[in-house]
Amino acid sequence: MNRKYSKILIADDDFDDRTLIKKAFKELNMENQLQFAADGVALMDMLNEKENEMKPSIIFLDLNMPKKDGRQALREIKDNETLRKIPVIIFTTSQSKDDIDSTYLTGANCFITKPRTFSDLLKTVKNIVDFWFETATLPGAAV
Amino acid sequence: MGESVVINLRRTKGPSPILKKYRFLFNDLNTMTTLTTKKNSDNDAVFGKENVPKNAANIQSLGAFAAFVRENYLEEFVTEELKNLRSKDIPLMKLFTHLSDEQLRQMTVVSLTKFLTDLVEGTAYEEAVESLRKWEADELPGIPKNAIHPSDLVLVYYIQKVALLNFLPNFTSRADEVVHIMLELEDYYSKVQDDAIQLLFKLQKGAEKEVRLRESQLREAQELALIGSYDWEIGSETAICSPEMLRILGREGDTVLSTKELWDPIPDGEKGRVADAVQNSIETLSPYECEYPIATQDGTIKTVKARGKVIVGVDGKPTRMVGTIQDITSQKKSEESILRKSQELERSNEDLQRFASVASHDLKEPLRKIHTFADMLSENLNTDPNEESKDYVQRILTSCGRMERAIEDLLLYSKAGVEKENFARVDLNKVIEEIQEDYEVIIRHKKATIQVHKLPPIFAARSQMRQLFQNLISNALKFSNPDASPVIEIGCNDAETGWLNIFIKDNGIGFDEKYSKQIFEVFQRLHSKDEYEGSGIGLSICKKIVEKHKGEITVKSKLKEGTTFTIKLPTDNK
Repeated sequence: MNRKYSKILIADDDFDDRTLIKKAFKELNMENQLQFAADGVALMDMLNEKENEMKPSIIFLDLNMPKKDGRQALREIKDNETLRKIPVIIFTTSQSKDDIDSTYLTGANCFITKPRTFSDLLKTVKNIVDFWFETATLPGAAV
Repeated sequence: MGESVVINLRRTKGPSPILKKYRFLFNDLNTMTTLTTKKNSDNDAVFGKENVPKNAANIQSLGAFAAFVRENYLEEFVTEELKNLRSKDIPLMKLFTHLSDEQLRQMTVVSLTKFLTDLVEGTAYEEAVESLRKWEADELPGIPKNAIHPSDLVLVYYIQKVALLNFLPNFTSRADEVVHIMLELEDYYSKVQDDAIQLLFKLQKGAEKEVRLRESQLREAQELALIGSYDWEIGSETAICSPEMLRILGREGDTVLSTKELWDPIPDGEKGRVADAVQNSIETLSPYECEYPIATQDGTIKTVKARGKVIVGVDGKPTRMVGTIQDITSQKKSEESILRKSQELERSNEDLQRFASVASHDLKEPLRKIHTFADMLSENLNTDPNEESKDYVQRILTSCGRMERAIEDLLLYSKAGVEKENFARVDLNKVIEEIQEDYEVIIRHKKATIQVHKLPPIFAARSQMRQLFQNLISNALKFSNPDASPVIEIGCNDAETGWLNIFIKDNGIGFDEKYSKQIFEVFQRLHSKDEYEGSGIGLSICKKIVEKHKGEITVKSKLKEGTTFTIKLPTDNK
């Protein structure tokens, strides 16, 4: 999967976190591939948009969001025939055992606790991108 | 004591005149004895363990409480009992004036130990009935039949109950257990008092003179215990009631009440249920028991517990119902208030838990931002020659780290020992082995040795024991003497039966003993943050866990020489 052209969808309600992650991707020259959703409803709307619109190759999903939280959105994504093949990376501040266990059970592909410093965040994002775009093989992005 | 009529119930050759006269009584007594010695399980069906909360596994029972008192508070129980007996001026005590204090005490120790053992084995009611039978048949050594009266016994039972309940707070602080055990105890005493009072009614017919004398004593006993008694000829319109029963019903005057006067105080909605219970008891000749509300004439609402036994005539048909009515209003109120308080407590605990996790999240979030942006600021400043700014930012970062750890630790503390973990048999030696494995690297690095003398098993919550010992061992390793390799010794000392005294001794830097109470407080540290890391919550978690297990933790220490923690834990925490 071509790293330059794939869309990356970030769902996070926190303005600061969105700024930070944009900055991290900027270091990797990928900030133009990002799409943002500020809550679970907006996220599902974006994903269920027009059928022929290209779906994202990866979703970064925060758990604590207003209107519809990440846990519910994850369930809906993994229940959907077309959407469930998209790798979902839970990207959250929560460290609760319940959250970790239940999201993996629902079908999350990865659970990552948000790092505290920017340099750690940069390292993490780089690792994720390297792994999912270079090592792993992503499913077809088109419907 | 006035003249008394002695009824000789032993079978003699040919009916003696006395026997002939009281033959009907003799038959009734036989029947009554049969009824009272019916298997306890039959009685249960009606006396019903329905009132006892059905929560099975973890509730302590009367038997466990009795064992506890027998093992730990026997002497105190005896002292309490004797104190109360003396203060109440019971005629029965006059029988023992020839005994010395020491002899009387010994006698009481024996009888109370038997009583407690009977409770443990579940045979208390049968044993009490047997004692009544022996008294009745004049078989109690040193206690002639006409010397005791059922009213004496009622008083003695009451005193015994009060003395025993004195130790209930030592046994448990769980509200549901307190309620359970009190109900079981009430059950036992009510049944025994019942039999004692009914014996009185039996003999009443043949010993009027004696009865009149005893009536005032019985009245006093009934008043104390809030029990009234009745005697109803089945099918008749009236019943004979004791003065206390009148009082309970809010009436005065005539001790013969019409059935209407008996039934009126019962609310219409309950009449059916009570009538059914009475009817069922008469038809099946089984004991009657019913708890119901009543409203006295002046409007007071009370809750009463009525009991009765059906007496059959010579032809085997039911003739009378004799029994008691007990005012349990205040008892019910305290039960309800205990249950309510315990529910409130549980709810407030849940609230606290939720508050702790929500608050920690809301505290953590902004803190994380401060940390992240301060970190980014610090990066930017690396190219800036202004040393002061760099310094300020560094301090912001350090404080952030500390606050984050403090919040984590507070959460840990609030969670410690709160999760409903099941108590089970724990092998402490294995727990310590696991901790040693986890700390392998540090142990090797510091060249530490941990000597463990075999610890006996204990009934506890395993993960909490793990946390407890881990905190203590980690402290011992952390506060080691820089000049010597750490030597940590773990073992146990002799303790009273049912308890373990575990010690954890180290040869570390020690501390001034004047802080020995303080160090168990939350966030208490004896050193600056530069000398030793840690937020100071480890020992307060240890204390919380030990207290959850109903134990005690203490410490002794000497500066530069070392520290010894002593944990006292019960071996059985059922």
